[in-house]
Amino acid sequence: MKEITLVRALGEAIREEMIRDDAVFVIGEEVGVYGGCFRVTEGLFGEFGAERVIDTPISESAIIGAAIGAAAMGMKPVAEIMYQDFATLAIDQILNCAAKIRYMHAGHATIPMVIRSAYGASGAGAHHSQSIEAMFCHIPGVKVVVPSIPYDAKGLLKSAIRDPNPVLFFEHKLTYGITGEIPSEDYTVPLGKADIKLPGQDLTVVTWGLMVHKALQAATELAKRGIELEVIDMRTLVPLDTTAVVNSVKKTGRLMIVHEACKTGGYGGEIAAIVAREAFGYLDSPIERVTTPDTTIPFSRNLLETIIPSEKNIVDVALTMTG
Amino acid sequence: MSLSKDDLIKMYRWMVLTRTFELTMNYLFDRGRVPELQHCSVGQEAVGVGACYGLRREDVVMPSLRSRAAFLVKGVSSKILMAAAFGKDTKECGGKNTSHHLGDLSLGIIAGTGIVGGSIPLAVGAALASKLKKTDQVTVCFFGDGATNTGNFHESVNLAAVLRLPIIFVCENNQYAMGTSVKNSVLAENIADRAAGYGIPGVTVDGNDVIAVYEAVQSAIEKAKDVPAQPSLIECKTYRWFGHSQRDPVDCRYRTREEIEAWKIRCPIERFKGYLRAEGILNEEVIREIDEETRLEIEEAVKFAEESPYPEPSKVLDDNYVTVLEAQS
Repeated sequence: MKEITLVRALGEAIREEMIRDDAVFVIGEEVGVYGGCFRVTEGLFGEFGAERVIDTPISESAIIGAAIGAAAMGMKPVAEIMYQDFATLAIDQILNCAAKIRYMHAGHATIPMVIRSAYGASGAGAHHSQSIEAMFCHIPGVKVVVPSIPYDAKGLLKSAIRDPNPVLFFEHKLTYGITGEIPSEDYTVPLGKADIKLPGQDLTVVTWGLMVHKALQAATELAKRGIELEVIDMRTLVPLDTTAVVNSVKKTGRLMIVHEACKTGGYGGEIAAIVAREAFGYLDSPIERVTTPDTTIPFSRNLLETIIPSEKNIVDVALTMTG
Repeated sequence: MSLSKDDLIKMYRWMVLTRTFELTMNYLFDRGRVPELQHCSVGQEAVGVGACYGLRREDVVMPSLRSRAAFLVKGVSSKILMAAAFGKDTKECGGKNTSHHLGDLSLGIIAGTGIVGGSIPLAVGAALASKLKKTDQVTVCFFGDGATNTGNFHESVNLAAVLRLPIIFVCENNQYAMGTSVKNSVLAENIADRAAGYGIPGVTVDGNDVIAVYEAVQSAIEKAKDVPAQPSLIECKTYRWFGHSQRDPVDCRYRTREEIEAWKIRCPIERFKGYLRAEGILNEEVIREIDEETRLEIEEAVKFAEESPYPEPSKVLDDNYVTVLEAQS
């Protein structure tokens, strides 16, 4: 085992997969010479050269389209879209091509590709702060992954690169610096499998990305008051590990979903609907969603702190639910 | 590659086959016998035939909405194409895709999208794959004049240029994007002039002259095979005889009868036939034979399509994802 930051865990995953499989290559803005806007691809350009670590013009749609076309012809691209907000410029390629090409070919085409992108609020203004994962979860044909710790980040990214489907891989900017232990040897974390980050008896908290850490902090606070949270890190939103969520709610009788994305149309609504159907008789209180309100993400720190779900928000709602 | 007498006759036959296919489709659609709304390429046959003739199986083609000839020349049988239009259960698209956007990777054809310009980035990706795999494949990407006003066109041509990819962008300028004249959508005299902005060669050819199209594409293929590769933009000026689709009657709302008639006089098939006749390559007997053969082929294609089964409803959710079992096999 070794201690590593999440950003380096991601870099290691890409590097090891590039060594393992010649078909894997990196493409995106500033991924090469610059080392990646968030330094995920640092060192790869020097090691693998300009052919396998491809710097592009600012052309999100062409980057994703080129990755899809290359994937259709047998390559395994890892495309970077610098900020998740910018993925909207490539939404046609993601929605109409990446997700549909296999179906349009009646199964005689395979699109093994990964689109990595940084999401979440970090004080960078309205267009560099959003959490729009639910928009992508609404697209049949793609998988959606959101890691929270270095171990998962590396293992999930390796699985994503090896997966024969298009995978969207969203990394919260404020998790890049989080450290954790990972094995020295090769390992993967399967897509579609949630992880119980903390077992507990009283209330299930379903969450992903940075919010996993806020939920764990809230759990520590609530434990002092004798309330046990069970914190489930979904890790993969599509395919969704419904069993993990439903089984937990059957045990605790309560469900809170926490996400940084705004509430309306957020993925929490989907999870709530599933649980309301599959575990209706087990619920001891209404399902709660702790999310950012429906708003544009502001710049000022104090405004941000007002809207982004905090440890205190989770504690307060948990107290109401269990009180 | 210089064209032999045999090549020229084959090219002529592909053009006649394409037209017969398209006119039959229109006939069937008008009588409610085929469900796919037809967007026919009558008048534009020289572009697809000229651009695809001589391509190898491993070369990649990204068709546009109006690339019927490209499909046929690249190897999709008229039966499969017809069955796709009927929504029947073909291996190639299983009722899940239309004939206009059909794909068959075993023939080097990538399924296009119904979004104008949206397929162009994928073609760039196919060319990128050949560069990375160090094969000598070239990619030919078709699109209409309307697509050259989309962001995808500009991003894609520029990306292909800076990455030096082996790709030929073939613009089928049929003068109209639906009902919008190219005169009202592009101020430049030629769409090929746009190539200069990306630092790649751009040529405008008479898109109704099949040999001119062929020669332009062959010359671009040589550039694409240079080291480093050089992409090209080829504009083929041609004309769409019929409406945007079979629901768009030729009522001269956005063009004049005189204009249509003037272009019909420049029919790519009649013109090529005249040339081949004058050169002594085609005689009346061979012309009649080709007419008869292609008519029979399309008749059989219709029969095949009508008799083919519809896809199993139980398969409707298949192929959205590669399943674990498929991935393991």
